[in-house]
Amino acid sequence: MLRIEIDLFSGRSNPVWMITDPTETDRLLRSIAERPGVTARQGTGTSGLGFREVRISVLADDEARFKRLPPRFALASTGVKDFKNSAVLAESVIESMPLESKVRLVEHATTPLSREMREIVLTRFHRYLDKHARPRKPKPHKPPFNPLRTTIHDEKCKKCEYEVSQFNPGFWNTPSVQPYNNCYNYARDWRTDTFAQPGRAHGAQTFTWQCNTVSTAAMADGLKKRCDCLPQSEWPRRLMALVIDPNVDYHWYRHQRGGFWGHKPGSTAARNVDNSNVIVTNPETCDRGGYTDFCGYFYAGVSVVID
Amino acid sequence: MLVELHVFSGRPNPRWELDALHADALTELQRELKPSKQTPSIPPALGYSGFSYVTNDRPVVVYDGYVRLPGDVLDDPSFTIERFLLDQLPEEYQLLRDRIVAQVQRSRRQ
Repeated sequence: MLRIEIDLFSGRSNPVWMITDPTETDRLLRSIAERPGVTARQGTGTSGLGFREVRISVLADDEARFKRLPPRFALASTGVKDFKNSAVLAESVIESMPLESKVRLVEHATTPLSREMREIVLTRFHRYLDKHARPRKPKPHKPPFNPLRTTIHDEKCKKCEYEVSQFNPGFWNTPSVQPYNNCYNYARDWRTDTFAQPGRAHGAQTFTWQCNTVSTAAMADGLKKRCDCLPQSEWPRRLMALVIDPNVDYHWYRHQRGGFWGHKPGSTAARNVDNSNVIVTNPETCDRGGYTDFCGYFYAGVSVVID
Repeated sequence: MLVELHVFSGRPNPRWELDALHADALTELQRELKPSKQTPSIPPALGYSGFSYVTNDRPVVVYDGYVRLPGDVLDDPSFTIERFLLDQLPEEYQLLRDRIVAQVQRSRRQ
């Protein structure tokens, strides 16, 4: 999953959207990784008025790894080495701006996505490019392959499938990510940097910490109960487990590749061990301290939006 | 002085401001502590894992009778800092207070 931001405006919010489709995510990252010199650190190019850069942020810890690609970077910045090819890629990203966002963001209140907005961005972008070479269209790209994800059959309900990810705590355990993402971010595998709360993205946040209330809030975000199979179009699909410290707090785990469970307690580091420092192979029986109530398992597909 | 109690996983941790009087008292308590030669305890994954605050531009983390500052560990065998901060816990978190007091009393350091 990717966050795209066109760094363009001064007063109002920049145009922002999410790429949730795994094929599109993979295609874009691959096409960028194939061209050395087309990316720069965000905010290192021109800082004047008008178009400045296309900002891309990777939001999940198990997107396919590509050499040279950090989790956040910019295209068509004046800070890139290969400006011409970077501009080609940036233009294709701008042209892919959805006319209506599937994922509603705060920025859309002031800067809704629309055909008109896309035209405004393209006009400003071409004006910016007039100082540089005009790009050519990129070639079509290969279908996705992600070595960090494996599809498995659910052992509790064989008809259902979901994806398990390579355990990648390094994605989360950095000063710019760790304090701003919690167990819900980790289990859903979406770095929102907002300390996401179940239901908040859909006006259904709860302030009562019990199994039924937190489950209901999370299901408002799109989580499904285990064995309510998700179609392949929801790829990548996670298996999450919810536990409760009654009337105090909640906690989530995510099933990982290798048969164990990963989790991220609050703003602390992501890990795969419990309170007794034992690898979590079963969230129902592991040492959870005061989180004594085991609520159940849920699937989270790509359409689950959290905030 | 902003104090954070590290206790939640899903919810944001409790944070509150200490007024100048209590901030001075906390700094004074800290000043009375001696360096520790022991390795500080590692908090569990879930549940109470200490307090943090910034004093004299230095971030401070307190847990299980150890006060950690950049390059320093102070020994607080009587848990004076944790007890002091628990006494300042805002009203809406009183439910947590009893539990954490019990945990501190059960600490392996005592």
